[in-house]
Amino acid sequence: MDKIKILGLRKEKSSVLQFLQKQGVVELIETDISESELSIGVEESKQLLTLQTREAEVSRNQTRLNSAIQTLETKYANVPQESTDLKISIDDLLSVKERESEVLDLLDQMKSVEERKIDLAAEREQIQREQDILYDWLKVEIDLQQTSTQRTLVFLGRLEKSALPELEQALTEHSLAETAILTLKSGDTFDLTAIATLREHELAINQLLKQYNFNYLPIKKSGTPDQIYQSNECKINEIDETVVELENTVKSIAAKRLDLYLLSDYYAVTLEYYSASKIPEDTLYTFSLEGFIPREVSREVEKKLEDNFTVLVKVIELEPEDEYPILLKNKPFAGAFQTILEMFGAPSTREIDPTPGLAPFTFMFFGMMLSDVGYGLLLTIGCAYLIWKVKIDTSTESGQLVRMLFLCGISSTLWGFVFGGFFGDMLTIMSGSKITFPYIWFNPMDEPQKLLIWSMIFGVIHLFGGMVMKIINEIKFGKILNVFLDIIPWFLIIIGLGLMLGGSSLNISTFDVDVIGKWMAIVGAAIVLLFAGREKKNIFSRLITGIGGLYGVINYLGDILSYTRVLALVLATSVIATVVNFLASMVSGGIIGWIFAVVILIGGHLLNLSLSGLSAYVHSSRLQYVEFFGQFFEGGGRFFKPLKYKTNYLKIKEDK
Amino acid sequence: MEVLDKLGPFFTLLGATMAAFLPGYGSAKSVGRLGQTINGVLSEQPELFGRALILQALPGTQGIYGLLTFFLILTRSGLMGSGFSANITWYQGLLWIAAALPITIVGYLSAIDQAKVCETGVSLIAKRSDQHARVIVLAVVVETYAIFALLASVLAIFSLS
Repeated sequence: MDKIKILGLRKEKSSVLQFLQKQGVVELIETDISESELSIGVEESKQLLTLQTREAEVSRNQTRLNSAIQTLETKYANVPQESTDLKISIDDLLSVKERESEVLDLLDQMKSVEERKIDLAAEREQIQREQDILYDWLKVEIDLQQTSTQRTLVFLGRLEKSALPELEQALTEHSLAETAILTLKSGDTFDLTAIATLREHELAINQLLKQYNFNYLPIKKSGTPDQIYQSNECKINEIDETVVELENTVKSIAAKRLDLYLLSDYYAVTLEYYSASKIPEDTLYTFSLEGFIPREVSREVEKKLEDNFTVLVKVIELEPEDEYPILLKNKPFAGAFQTILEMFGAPSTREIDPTPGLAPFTFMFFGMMLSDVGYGLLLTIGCAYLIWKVKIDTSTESGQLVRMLFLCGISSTLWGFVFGGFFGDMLTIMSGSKITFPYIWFNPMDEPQKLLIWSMIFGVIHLFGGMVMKIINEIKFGKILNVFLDIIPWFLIIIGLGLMLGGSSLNISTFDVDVIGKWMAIVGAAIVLLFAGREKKNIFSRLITGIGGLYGVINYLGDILSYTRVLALVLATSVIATVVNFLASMVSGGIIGWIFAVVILIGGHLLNLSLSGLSAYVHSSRLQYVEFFGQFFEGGGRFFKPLKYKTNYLKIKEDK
Repeated sequence: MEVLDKLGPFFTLLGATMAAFLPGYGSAKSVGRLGQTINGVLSEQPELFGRALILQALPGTQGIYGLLTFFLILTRSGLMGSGFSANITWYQGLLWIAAALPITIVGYLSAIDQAKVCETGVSLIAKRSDQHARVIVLAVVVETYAIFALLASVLAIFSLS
């Protein structure tokens, strides 16, 4: 990683920034120029203000665009697009600026259409409610508005059949005899009635009617119920037609959603550019920029900058002691496992990139944990389909995961042959124990103890791998002494104890393995005891630290035992597969039986693949994070984030 | 003792079903509670669904481990296949129960404890979705002990048969 310093003419600042964004290899940083050196005049602060206004506008428009895109993608996802090519060149992306207002018009149009649709829906509902009421009043030949005269009033409404006699009686009781109750139309449980009375009785009648649950007709339009019903019907049809038209308008916008993607991504890129150009290291006539740049491209970018612009460029080579962001660089195989490290965090600038170390072990442990030819092949084929057929972008997080799982699938297939698993014991059960899938090494279901020992041995190898990384780091830091006093002794102790415990099973008769192991452990322990506290002056506190150092053996024991999870997960995968096969074999027989069996097999094995696959991924990562990284990893760095074209919807074509 | 002798298959089945239902219940409880929390988060950030689903699935494994133990006991003890006529003494039956104990108890409890880690993890990824991997690792540290318990049970089952 190098540091790049650029000094140029102010008028060229924006084109230099755009150039850098196009290159996508420089991470700009804020330099520590003191306030006094900055001379922001009236003109400059005006410019900054316009920039900020424009930035706010762009980000507002982007939010609007994105929510419109979301609506289109959820509601109109199956409207065919005019163009489905999601790959664009940088020039295409930048040229959308000329059509910006056109695209934003689409957005306004969509917004007004959506609003209109909501209004229309509300109106339609209102009319429909009226229709429901009017339906009962059809064939009643009166004008709903012209029912009252100067001296009389008419109330229209629904009255329960049972309430009629009571109401009549009440009218006489209250001496309101000048009131007429007309039944206009008789229903099942209620009558449609007109109640005519004198104006001076209005209050009293109203009270009475309320008491007897008289249901007033709420419609006060002119015309007979039939006429109103007809005209309402027409209105509903009109609304429905308009809605269809509006839908078509939105659909035509949906067909053009590529333009919306384009503008949204253009805004994303622009915002990135704005935030870079706000770093204000400007003087009256010049600007200065500072940033990090990967070493292999720094000279090239320097030359390009000097050729194209009137700038002064200085590239400073950084040492590991300087703080700079981390850009991982790995060969394709190891690179596929980089995502595991990226999820954990960046290493510090001084230490070694752990990816080449963790890659083969993740490959191995994931494969062991899933260890099934059937599952491995499914995983490999599925990922291969995503990579080569769907052409998933392997630079994204999910793309990297797919690339890793592709390799892990291969590993699972290999381990499946080793342990003899093909969808568990599917062949054995379905063939009625006639065929058994062969194994190369041994079957963990028959000899779990053997796999228990071996998973711990693989664990020790993994831990040793971590310790080798530690040695490389110590050499990088120039602390060779630590290698001999802090790391090598532990190799001796672990191998020594291992030989003492399991050496007899090696059947070596020429020399006594137990004794060699014992002495290795003793020498290792002695070094730890004497030198773990070598910084302490006092002999007693030095020895006490030494004893504390020996306590590390418990940690190593815990770490090694942690690898027994490999056995547990191997058994979990194959036992669940066995259960699925067993269930399928119970229902099999006859055509219907076999259909059920196949459904159970497909569903069960897919479920097991996803659950066991998740376990294998999660636990092989954990073995890296806790056990492997625990040996050497310092961390605390941060990843390199250059100024570049970051798009959300479209993919930018590399221009050659 | 005559009655006791006939209880062998019962004890065996008891051990097996305990291993299936206690961790299973623990998992169901944990997954259910997590689902509620996740629903709350999804109402604001529906794009977190994929990540949250993985977290919800994590305490579900204990139930699987229990089911696995159940199946192993049934096949290894000979209960599956011979059924009522299984030839298991009461003493052997008790041994099968003992073998099932680690995953039965640790499976149940660890599912609930793991769900607590996942639950706070969900609120963490709601704020910082880039922390997803770390949340998984923290939850998996709890699961380690369920795996060890499973291992203890499985090894006991294998050494009994």
